[in-house]
Amino acid sequence: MIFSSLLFLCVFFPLFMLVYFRVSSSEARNRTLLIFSLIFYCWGGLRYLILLLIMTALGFFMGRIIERTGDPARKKTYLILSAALFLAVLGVFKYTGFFLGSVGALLNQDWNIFRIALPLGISFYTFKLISYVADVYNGRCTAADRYQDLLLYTSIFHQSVSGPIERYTDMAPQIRSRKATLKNLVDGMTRFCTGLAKKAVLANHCGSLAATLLPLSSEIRTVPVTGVWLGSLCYMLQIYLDFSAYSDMALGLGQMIGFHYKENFNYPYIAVSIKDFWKRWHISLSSFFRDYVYIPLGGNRISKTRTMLNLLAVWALTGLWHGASWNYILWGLYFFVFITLENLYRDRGGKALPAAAGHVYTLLVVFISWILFRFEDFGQLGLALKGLVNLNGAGLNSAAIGVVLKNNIFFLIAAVFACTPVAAGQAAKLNAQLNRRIPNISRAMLLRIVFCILMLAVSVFALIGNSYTPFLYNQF
Amino acid sequence: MSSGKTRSDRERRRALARKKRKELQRIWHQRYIRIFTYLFAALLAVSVLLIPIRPKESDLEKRELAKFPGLSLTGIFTGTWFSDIDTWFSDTFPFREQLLACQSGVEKLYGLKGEELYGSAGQGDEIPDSAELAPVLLPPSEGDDSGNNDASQEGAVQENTSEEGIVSEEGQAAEETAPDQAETPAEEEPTEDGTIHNQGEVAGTVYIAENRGFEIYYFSNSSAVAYASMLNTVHAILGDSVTIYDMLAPTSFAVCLDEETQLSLGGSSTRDAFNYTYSMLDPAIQQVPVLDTLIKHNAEYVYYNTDHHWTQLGAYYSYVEFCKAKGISAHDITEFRESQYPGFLGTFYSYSNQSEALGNNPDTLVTYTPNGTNDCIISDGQGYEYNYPVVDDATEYSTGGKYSAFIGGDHALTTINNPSITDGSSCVVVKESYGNAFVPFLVDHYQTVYVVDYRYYPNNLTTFIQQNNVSDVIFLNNADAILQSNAETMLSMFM
Repeated sequence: MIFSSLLFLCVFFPLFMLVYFRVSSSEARNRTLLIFSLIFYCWGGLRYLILLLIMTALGFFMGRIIERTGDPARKKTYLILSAALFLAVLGVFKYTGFFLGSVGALLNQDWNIFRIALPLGISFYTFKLISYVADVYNGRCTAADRYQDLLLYTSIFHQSVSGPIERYTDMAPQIRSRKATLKNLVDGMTRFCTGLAKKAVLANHCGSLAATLLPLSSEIRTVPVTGVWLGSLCYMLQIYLDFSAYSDMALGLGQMIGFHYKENFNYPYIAVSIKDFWKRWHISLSSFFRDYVYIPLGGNRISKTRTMLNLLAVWALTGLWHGASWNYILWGLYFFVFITLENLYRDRGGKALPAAAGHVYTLLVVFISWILFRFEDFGQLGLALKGLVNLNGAGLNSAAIGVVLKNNIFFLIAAVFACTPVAAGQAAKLNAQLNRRIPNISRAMLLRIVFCILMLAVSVFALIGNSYTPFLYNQF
Repeated sequence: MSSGKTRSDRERRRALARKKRKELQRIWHQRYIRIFTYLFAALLAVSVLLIPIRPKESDLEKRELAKFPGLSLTGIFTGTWFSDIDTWFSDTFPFREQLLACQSGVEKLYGLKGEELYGSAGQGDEIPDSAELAPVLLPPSEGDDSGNNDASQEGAVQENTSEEGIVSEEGQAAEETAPDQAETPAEEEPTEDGTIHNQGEVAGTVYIAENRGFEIYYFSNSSAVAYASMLNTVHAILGDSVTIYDMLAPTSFAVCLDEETQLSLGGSSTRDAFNYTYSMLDPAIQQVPVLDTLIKHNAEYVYYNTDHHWTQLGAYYSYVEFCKAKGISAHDITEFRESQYPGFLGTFYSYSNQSEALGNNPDTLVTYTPNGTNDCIISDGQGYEYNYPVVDDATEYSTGGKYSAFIGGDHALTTINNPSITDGSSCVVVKESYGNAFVPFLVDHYQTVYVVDYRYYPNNLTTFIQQNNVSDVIFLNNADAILQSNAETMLSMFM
């Protein structure tokens, strides 16, 4: 199930909240949360729920063994063993097809048939489990006493499909005890509904515009220059709005019942450098790579060459994590190049760019990166890149592109606006004003509830609109 | 002492106020939790209680909505059962059409809507100036006796299967409707308004301007060659005793928009495409060019605003051209009984999810009833038959289904026997839906008119033509239907 589905909004979520409010002890609330999370996960198939249960059990036992082992060498062996096990499972499910396909291509064989359906959220929960055993190993947290606590950590429906990759060190105290206040509830609802509208109204439509203008086929050859640029812009907007909306919804759902997850996005498109961008983009993933790969490899306290090699490994892995295809690796390495260049520039004593130039540079680099990200087929990728500078001979512009732009001009402005902190800042200001002007805090809250209902309504319209698939009677 | 008393008084009062505020907060907290509980309960109750009134099919979209999935162990194990519930839940959401209208209202705010574009923009192939005759494609066993079979070129055509925009879209549509298509037309009773809900295809790109819809035409070379080949082959099979007429019907895109606009929207020139296609036909095939006539009359109501078909008036002008080609005199339009049915919102309207521009410009279905007879027999070609009017009263038809007033929509075989003609003359019309508005005009010229929709016809048409001594075979195909896949389907009926 996904949050932006009507079944989730109209049945799963209200049912969960009703049951959750009915029970009062924290033990019973955790049990409710766990049961609902497991039901939620069923949407990925019972077989993969079983895999999740087994993987968590593995993490649970390894955590306990690591904690009990006194001998540092053996401790380390257990850590490496468990991380290897998790990665092996992830590898089998996520990368078998890719690996065989690539080897097959080298041997001139078509081995692309070996595709295994990807278990729901496996990339996220595998990383959660790795961070868990590593944290136990480092003594940053104690091993979970009970299996169900760790299972709640891996399967909690807020995070099981699209993250964020929370750490057990942060989650464990909140699983044990958390306080859900009215303010939390309303704040969480506002966050969730805003995220929902961001996904259902903005991201989905950006996606359909991108699909039209930047088609995932060799037809991209025929798209004029303005179309390629506009389509890439739509895709750039879609990918941020979609992903950050999902994080908004996860954070909001958590907040409603007293969880406080770490922010996963911090307006990445206002970054002034690529380094800055990656501090703002998918923070839970980049900090995972920093804490569990880059720093254990020595961080920046080793020789320049080694550091660079480590960075190379980190970025190739980051790319690979996003998908089992060469273009994702290319995408990761592309960022490696720019980060290295930025490091060299800094080390040579280069001054930071003026803010405006920094923004333009960052946005342009990121813009191109999303084109690399979009096309798994390198032929199409080449066509798309060539299309940017009219090397396909499709012309500069066409009336059709003009019509698409005109039809969506206000929408696109709103979508760009939604990627900046302006709207959120204004909302916070308004909220403060309301609280001051209307002393009775509950009335200000009432207004926010009205806002939530409005967001919910436009999202439901949009989601119904998404299911609109007209079939034309006797078309020909 | 007094100051100390005041201070403690103040403190006491402050403490009281704090306590009161806390108490108030607690009350509000509880109230809100209750309000939320009611809200959640209401949401849940509405979602569950409304299950019985969930729609089962969508009139607007012309399709059956998703059904609740049957329980299966594999489905549960792989998760498809759960995701099918998801699909069912959103597809059959209560008040679906009203909510769709709301969404359409929201989308109106997205930009300036003088012109609109729906669907993905494609690109046509370049149109060659002229070509040699398209090769005849005969099955190997019959190849030797036909005499003019150019089997050496067969490979060239077979190779030419590169997928092209519309073809692939249509392929998708076919995939999505596959379960329905599996039903044979035999099991299908005509619904109340004559609309059959099991066939449909997704249009390519719909352009809306001046409150009218147009479907952008994209030329495909492989399709044009396959189509011409099909006709030449049919001619070779049927021999000279049967006259073949080929009428290529343009859509409103070519007739009502100037050529510059057509090209600037990325479309292909229908004129060039038709000329090229005709140039590949065997000279024995009678060409019935109608594009110029329609353009000449484009100030009249020859195409619908909200639907992709031509009006029956548009079909009439084409009928006049057909009569010229056949060498007979056409009836005057005033000789037919005219009826009008306002409030028609056709395929463009539903494809654009109820575009306001089109909604404000609804069509009137104008029908002309033939004189000789208004009865036809609709058949699935496998023994199931029923009677229907050639031109029906469309008053009770749904807003979107009014075009089905002509020969009851698309069927495998429709037979019209005119009792006032007894010369044994007969023709077969091979068509898709553009033919429906055209057929009524033929009624007064043949004893029997057979109408074959190649998408549904299950039998061998060559045998049928020979058995019934048919003298004329009229191919009426619109620009968007000239697809390689359709040409193959048509050809297979004759083989």
